[in-house]
Amino acid sequence: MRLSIILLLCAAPVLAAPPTKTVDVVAAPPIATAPDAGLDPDVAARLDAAERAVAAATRAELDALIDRVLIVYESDDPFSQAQRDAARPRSLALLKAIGERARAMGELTIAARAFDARWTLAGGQRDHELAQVLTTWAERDAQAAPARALYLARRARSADPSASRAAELDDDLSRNHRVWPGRLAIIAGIVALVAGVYARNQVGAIESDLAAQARPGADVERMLGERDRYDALGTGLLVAAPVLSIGGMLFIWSGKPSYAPTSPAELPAMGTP
Amino acid sequence: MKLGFALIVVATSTSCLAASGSLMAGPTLALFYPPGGVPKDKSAVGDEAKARLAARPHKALAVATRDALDAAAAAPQDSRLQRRAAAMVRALVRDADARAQLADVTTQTTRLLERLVATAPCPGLADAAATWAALDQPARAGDAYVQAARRCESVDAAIASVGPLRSVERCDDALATLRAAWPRAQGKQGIAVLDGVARCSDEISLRRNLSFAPADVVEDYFALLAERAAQAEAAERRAEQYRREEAVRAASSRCESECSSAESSCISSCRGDSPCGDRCSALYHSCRSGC
Repeated sequence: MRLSIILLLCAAPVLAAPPTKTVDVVAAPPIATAPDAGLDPDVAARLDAAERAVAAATRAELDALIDRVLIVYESDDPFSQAQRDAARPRSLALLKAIGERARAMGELTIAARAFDARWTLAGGQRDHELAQVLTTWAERDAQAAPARALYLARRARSADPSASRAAELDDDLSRNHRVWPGRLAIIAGIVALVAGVYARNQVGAIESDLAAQARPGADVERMLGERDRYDALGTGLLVAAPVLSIGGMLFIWSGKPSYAPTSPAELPAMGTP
Repeated sequence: MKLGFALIVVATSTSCLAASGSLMAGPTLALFYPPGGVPKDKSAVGDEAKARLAARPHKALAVATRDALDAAAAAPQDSRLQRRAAAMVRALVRDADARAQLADVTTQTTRLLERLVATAPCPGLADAAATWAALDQPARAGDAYVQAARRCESVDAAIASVGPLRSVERCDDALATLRAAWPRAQGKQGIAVLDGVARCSDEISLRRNLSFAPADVVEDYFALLAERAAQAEAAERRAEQYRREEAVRAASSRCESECSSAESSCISSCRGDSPCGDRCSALYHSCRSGC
C-alpha cells in the first residue's frame, strides 16, 4: 500500500492545480507566467544546449544534463510551472536520448535516472526501457545490496508490469529462502520423535517380556542385546528430535529477510512535478 | 497376571502417545508458521534520495532565476522578460536555501532593475520597488514606489510606499506622496490612502496630516477609526473572556482531578473498611463541591 502511494506520487502526471496564468504585482499590471507561444528563451536555451551536448557528453555531463532538463519541473516558481506542459515533449525526447546514451556507455545509474524521470514526466505510462535498466541494476546489486535491488525490482515491475525478470527478482528477494530446508528439518524432528518413542516402547516391551517368563540363557542374551540397541537408538532419536525441530525453526527464522526495499540515492529521479 | 500385564502395556503406550503428542505440537505448529518474507506493499525512499529530492527544488529555483536574469539581460527591450526575472528574484529571496546558491543576485538584480526602469518605468518602477522590498532594501523600495506614484500616477504605489518609508523613518516622504495621490484615489483607495496617513501619524499629528482631505471625509474617517477601535476592543474583550473561561475550566478540571486522586488514596488506606470508605466518599463530595 505504501509503495503504491509512493509510486503514485512519483509517477503521477501533472495532476496538481493548474499553473497560474499571471503573477500579481502591487501597483502594476500582472505578469503573464508564460509567453504567448512556445517557451521563454532561457527555458528553450536549456533544452537546446542539452540537445546539442547529449551526443558527446561524458558521464558527469550526462548527469548534469538530466538536472538541467528537470529544472522547469523542479523549480516551484510560477513561470517554470506555467511552461511545463509546453516543454514536456522535448524534455521526454531529451531524457530518452540521455538514457540511451548512458546505457550505451554502460552507465546504468544515469540511464536509470533519465528513464525514471521520463517515466514520471510521462505520467507513469508503461516504460519497457526503464524496467530493463532497473532490472539490470537490481541483478547487479542483488548480492551486495539486496534492499536496494528489491526496490529497483519493484520499481521495474511498476514501470512495466509484464517484466518477468523483474517479477522473478522481486519474488526471489522478497522470499525467505530457508523455509523448505527448515520445514524438512522440523518434519525430520517429528519423525525422529515418533521413531524414538517407538524404540523406547520396544525397550519397555522387551523388558516386560523378559520379566514375564523364564527363557534359555541364549535367548535372554539376544533379547538383552536387542533391548540395548533399541535403547541407544531411541535415546539418540529422542535427543535428535528437539534438536532437529528447534534447529529447523531457528533456520526458518534466521532466513527472514532483514531488509526493507529502499531506494538508492539516485532514485526516484524526481518528486511529483 | 496376564490381564495386569496387558493393562500396564496399554497404560504405558497411552502415556507415551500423549507425551509424544504434546512434544510434537510445537514442531507441528512451527510447520505452519509464516515464512516471513518482505511484504509486497513495503518500499521506502532512502535517506540520501530524500535529501536529494528535498534539495532539488531550491537548486532548480536558483538555476531558473539565474537563467531568467541572463535571458532578461540578453533581451533588454522585452519588458515581460525583465519583469519576469524580477518576479523570480522575489521568489528566490523567499527561499533561503535557493538564495544561498546565487551569491551575486543583488548585483545582477540591480542591473536588471535599472534596465527595467529605463525601458519601461511604468510598470517597471512598481516591479523594482517590490523587488527592492523583497531584497530587504526598504529605502530603495520606498523611493521606487514614490517615483511610481508620481511618474505612473499610481495611487496603489503611493499607498505601498508607506511600509518601506515608515521602516526607514521617512514618513514625511510617504505623507507627501499620499497627499499628491489623494485627488486620484477612487472608492476604497481613498480609505487606503487615509490609512497610510494614519500609519505615519500619531494621535496628535493625524488630524493635521489629514488636512488635505475635505473636512467631511476626515470626520467620516475618524468615525470609521472609532468604529474599528470599538470592534477591536470588543474582539479583545471576547478573547479575554474566552481566555478567562478556559482558565476557569482548566482550574476546575484540575481541582476535580485532585479531589478524585485524594479519594482514591483515602479509600486505599481504608483497606476495605466500609465506614472509612464512606467517609472518603463524603470528603470527595465536599472537596468537589468546592471546585
